[in-house]
Amino acid sequence: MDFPRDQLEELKRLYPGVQRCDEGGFTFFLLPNAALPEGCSPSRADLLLCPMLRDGYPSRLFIAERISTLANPNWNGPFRILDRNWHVFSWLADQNDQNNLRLAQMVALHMRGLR
Amino acid sequence: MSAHIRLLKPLYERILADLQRPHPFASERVGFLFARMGSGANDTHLIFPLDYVPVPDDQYLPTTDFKIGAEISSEAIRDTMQRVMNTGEGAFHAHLHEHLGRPRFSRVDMKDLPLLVRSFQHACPEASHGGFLISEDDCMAAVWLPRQRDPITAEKITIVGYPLRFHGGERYVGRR
Amino acid sequence: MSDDDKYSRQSFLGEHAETWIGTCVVGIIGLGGGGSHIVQQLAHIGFLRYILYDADIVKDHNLNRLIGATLADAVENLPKIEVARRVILGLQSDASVEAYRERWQEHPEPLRRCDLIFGCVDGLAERRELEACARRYLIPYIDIGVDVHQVGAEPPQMAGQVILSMPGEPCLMCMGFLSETDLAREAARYGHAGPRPQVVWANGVLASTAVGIAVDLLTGWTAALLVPVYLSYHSNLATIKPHIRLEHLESGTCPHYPVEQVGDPRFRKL
Repeated sequence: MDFPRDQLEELKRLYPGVQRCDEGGFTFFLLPNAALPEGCSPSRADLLLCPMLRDGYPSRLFIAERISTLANPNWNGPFRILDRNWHVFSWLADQNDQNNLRLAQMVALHMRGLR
Repeated sequence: MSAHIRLLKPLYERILADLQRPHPFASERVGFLFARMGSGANDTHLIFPLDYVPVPDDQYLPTTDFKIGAEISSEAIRDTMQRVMNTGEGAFHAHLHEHLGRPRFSRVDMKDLPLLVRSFQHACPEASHGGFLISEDDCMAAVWLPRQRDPITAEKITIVGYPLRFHGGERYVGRR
Repeated sequence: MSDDDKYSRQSFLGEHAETWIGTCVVGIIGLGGGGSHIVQQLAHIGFLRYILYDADIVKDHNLNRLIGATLADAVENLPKIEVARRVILGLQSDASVEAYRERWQEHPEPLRRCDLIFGCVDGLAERRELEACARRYLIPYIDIGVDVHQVGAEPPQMAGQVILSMPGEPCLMCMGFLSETDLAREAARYGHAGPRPQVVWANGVLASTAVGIAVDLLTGWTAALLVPVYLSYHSNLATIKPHIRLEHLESGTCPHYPVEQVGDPRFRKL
């Protein structure tokens, strides 16, 4: 799947070292050692963004480990994607919010669930 | 350390068909396999040839040495090195020995192959490179694992198709 | 081969069948009702190299269908991998059995050495992950599963599938077995497949069919295996036949697992 150049550049600026890989018909962006919201432990982790409809979610943000945070989200996983195990949390993001989001906005939206 | 090679049957058949074609003056044909890498357990290196590129007819050099089946130009080697450098794939020199049964690299093969592989290792030291040798009903491969000076024989070569076929060193021989 | 040879009754599989079968490294994920049948049959036939995964132990409610398990195993809470190991070694004393009492995702490296993988797992997402691994490492994957549905006061309907997902050929998504809709529905239940109705005879039909496909794949004895294989089992009617979806399959290579994605994942910097 192709993504607008400007969105890719924006993602690169916000998440240095961002990489792309595809599997099973899905595109994933790896955000290595990304900073997490304040109050998270650990404070940084590898993130994997899937910016496509997957399992009923308009986008998903997978995290390399379960994060401790006051938000105490409901964790699922691990899921195996691209030869690594990833965790994801469910939270009640308004699905309508997720339409027409830029790639960086998708990441920000999911990060809200950790605050 | 060991090496397992897996390739799809259509690719294997394409290689065999190409190597069986007569050449205007060389007594055998040569091509290059390009492979992706994978890691298994217990230090097993997995090698997945995904593409085969025959050496074009005009990149063969005439030779009067009857011991040499085919001599290829430096251009053919450069093209292969360039692809290895661009893609990070492993390169395997491929040719055919026209007989039935397990093929064996000749003295000429084992003299020339290390020099070729050294070039490929310069182009991409992280990949495995080597030689892939086919007979009419079997095959084997000499593999230089990443950064290794000496080759090992591929423990298993799996042709993935119907039927599934195993070649290489570790074939179980049925009890009788 | 004399008439007394252990495999004389399967000599029709071909002169070198024992070689191909004995050389094959077979992975079985899930050693419950379906997987336990498969293990037993493979051991009978002469498979010698096994890589097994199941984190579970034998409980009372498994005994209606777990092949090889005993009352004592349930009392002892014996791991299912040990039941499988016992069955295999009881028939093939020199078999190599690597058994992992964990999910395969916790320890995936051994699975990559398999020549063939049987998936006997619960849930669609699990199947997707397993197939993705098999495709990445060019390993044929055979999936089995059975389910029971009941609508209102109608009799329960028991149905299942046997699918061969062959690298380079249509995948579970291509064949319509996996779909975004069904995966979404499962995710909405937080991935819990829930306790599934399971009976030994249905598992037996599916496992036997899967093993037959595997032996054909290895020996080529029928010279007629058409891939992909997607068989639909309807227990109420006692039928197993090609799924109608195969008639509508688009020709061409699988777009979900292109050959460029084989091997260790290759990330591209943006």
